[in-house]
Amino acid sequence: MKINLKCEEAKMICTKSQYGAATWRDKINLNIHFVCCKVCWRFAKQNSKLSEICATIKKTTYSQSIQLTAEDKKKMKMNIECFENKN
Amino acid sequence: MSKEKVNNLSPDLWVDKYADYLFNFTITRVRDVDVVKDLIQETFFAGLKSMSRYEGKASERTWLISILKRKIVDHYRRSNSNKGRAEVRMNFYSEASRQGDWIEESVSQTGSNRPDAQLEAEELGQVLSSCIKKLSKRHKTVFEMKTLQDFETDEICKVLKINPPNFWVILHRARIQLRKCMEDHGFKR
Repeated sequence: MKINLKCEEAKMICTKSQYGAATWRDKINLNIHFVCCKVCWRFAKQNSKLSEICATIKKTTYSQSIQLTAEDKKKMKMNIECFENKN
Repeated sequence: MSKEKVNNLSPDLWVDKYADYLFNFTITRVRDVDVVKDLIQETFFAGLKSMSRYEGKASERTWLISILKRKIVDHYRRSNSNKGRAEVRMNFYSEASRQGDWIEESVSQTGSNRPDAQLEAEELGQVLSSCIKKLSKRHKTVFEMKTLQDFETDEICKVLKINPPNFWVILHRARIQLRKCMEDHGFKR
């Protein structure tokens, strides 16, 4: 088991853990690294903040609820009928 | 026999019954309304074409969704057709590592306590959206697919024809750029 992470590796693990893709080993190593590296610790905090903001973007696009218009549906229906008649 | 199977499907009602459902399913994955409309239309066509192969095992809706999923993947494949071809599969992230996502847990609790938190979150969201637009096409695709549209890593790798380590590097760089962009906009968190 590797104990001394380089900062680049540590940052990579940060990103992976945002998506639940870091192993527990990685996470332990990361936390050990945080003890002695405040730069990466700050990076991790910012990184998780970034994820938070992404989550809000996702929420707002969901709640905007763009819908198909009646006209769109009519068009689709006509296309389906044409398609059926052709075959 | 095949006649009976066909009778289980009613294409005339597809639009009324499923168009909205299919639309909502697709819009979260493909964020372009026009593309979504086309994909749904294509799905209906594909459904009509392969009606004889419908076995009635799944409901009509599930069946249409399974076609639609393939159409969505095809869409991403098309828009990425002239990109890197290397497909080396290396799976060294075990499923077990998906447990205990401490970040996800903290995300769901944000923004409900302070009245101005909502406003701040919206503002940050807008800045981030503009930052995402500034990313290069490849970074943007990977970042959006993974973060905003919740595709699985495997799926993205397959569609974009990259290998997982490469995927993580791209995603990581995209995030670093976004962080830098946010800082340039005055957000020192």
